[in-house]
Amino acid sequence: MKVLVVDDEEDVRFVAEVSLGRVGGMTVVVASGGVEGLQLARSEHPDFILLDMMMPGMDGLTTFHALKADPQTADIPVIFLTAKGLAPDTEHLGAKAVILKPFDPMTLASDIRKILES
Amino acid sequence: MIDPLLQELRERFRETARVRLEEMRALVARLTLDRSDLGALERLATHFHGLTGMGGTYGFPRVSDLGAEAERSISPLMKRGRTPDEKTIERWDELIGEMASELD
Repeated sequence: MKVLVVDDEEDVRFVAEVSLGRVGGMTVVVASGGVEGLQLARSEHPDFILLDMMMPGMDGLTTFHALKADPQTADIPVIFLTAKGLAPDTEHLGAKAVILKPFDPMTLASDIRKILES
Repeated sequence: MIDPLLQELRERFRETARVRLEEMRALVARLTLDRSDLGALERLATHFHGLTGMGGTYGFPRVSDLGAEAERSISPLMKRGRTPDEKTIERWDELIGEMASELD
């Protein structure tokens, strides 16, 4: 399973690589912003995208709408990553789910697998 | 006993957060001199947000709590384009100090 993690925080990208890659056995591709995330979504065709809401430049919501507007990436499930109190209405948006920060690095991969199977 | 992987994550966060806290102290010093320094305010808000989000993930839940307290005062200022008062800046400095203590 391949995941694209899009987050401007280096600490988040690192822990996601450890949690999803080393612990969860997934192939992890990372992007530090929305523009790079869109490019990698098109070129890497991940099985799902973990997308930070609050980023400088192209934020998570704008990135999400761009992903859904592009036929190459529209079908890729998106899970938002955001701080408590900033969670969007995912059902309304069409996103798969929201994972709140801080999260447990040891269970992130299994939590995501459950979300994707649901 | 802490899982070796969690221990590795904690050690890494300690290092990166200490660097971040040093920069935050410098930003607070800038704001103390000039409360209208919006560049410093924005950068400080980004740091508090990052520590709030990741402290608990890396095994420092108190860092997340302290960051959340700072965010509650800094976010409304950012949204309204207002400058912080002296007391608020002093509190941010205290919170940075408490975060640093948590990492020791």
